[in-house]
Amino acid sequence: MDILGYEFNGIVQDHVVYRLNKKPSALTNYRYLIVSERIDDVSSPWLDIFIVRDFNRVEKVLKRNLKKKIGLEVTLSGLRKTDGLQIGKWFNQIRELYKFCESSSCQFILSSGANSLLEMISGRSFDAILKICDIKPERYWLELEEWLANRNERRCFLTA
Amino acid sequence: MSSKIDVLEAVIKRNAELFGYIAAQKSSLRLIRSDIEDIMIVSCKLEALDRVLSTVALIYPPMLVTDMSGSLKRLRRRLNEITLIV
Repeated sequence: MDILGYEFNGIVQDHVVYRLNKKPSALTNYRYLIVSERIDDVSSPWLDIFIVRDFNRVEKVLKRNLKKKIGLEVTLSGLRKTDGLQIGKWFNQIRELYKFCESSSCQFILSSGANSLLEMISGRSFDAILKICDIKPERYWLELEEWLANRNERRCFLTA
Repeated sequence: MSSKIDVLEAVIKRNAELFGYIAAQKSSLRLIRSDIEDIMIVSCKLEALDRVLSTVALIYPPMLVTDMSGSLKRLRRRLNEITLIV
C-alpha cells in the first residue's frame, strides 16, 4: 500500500483506496481509510490508520488508548533530508514499533509519504527497507493485504 | 552526462553515510550510459542491491527506481517501452 502522491481529482479509480481525514457523512462508491496523526484520535472508533511520527513520544499513549486492529503507519519521506545517525535511530524505532504492533494486534504499515511522483518508492525498494528492519517482506505484504480486506469488509459501499 | 555523474556521486556518498564506507566501495556502483535524458542506469553488485535500493529511497533530492534487470539489453528495451508509453 502506498500513497500515490497526488490529491483526489474527482474521478474515482478502481483498485484505489482513498485516504480521508474524517468519516464521510453518506455512503461512498469508493473504498477509503480514515487516517489521522492526532494522538487524541487514537481511541476513536472510526479511525483506521494512525500516523506515527515519533514512536518513543507516543508509545505510552498508544499502550493506554489504542484500539485493536488499527493500522500504525510510518512514512519515509521525512527521512530523505536527515543524516545517517538519525536514520539509524529511526530504523531502531521501526523494529520496536513492529514488535509493538505484533503484541497489540495492530497492523504495521510502511509507506513512502510521497507528495509527488518522484517521491514514490518501488515495491522492491520497500522490500529492501523491510529487510533492514528485520521484517520479512512476504509476511508483511500478506498481513497488510488481509488487514486491508478485513477493514473494507466492514463497510458498505455504493456500487455502480 | 556530468549531472548524472554528480547524481551517482551523491548516491555513493549517501550509501556510505548509511551503511559505511567499506560497504559502499564493495557495492561497486557504476554509471552506465543511457540515451534517455531523465533516466540513469546504474550497476551494482547483487549482494549490495538491498542497500542500494534503500539508499535511493532515502536520498534527497528524491529519485525513483523505475526498473531493474540482470541484463542490460533487457533493461534498455524495457526502458524504451516505458518512454514510448509516457
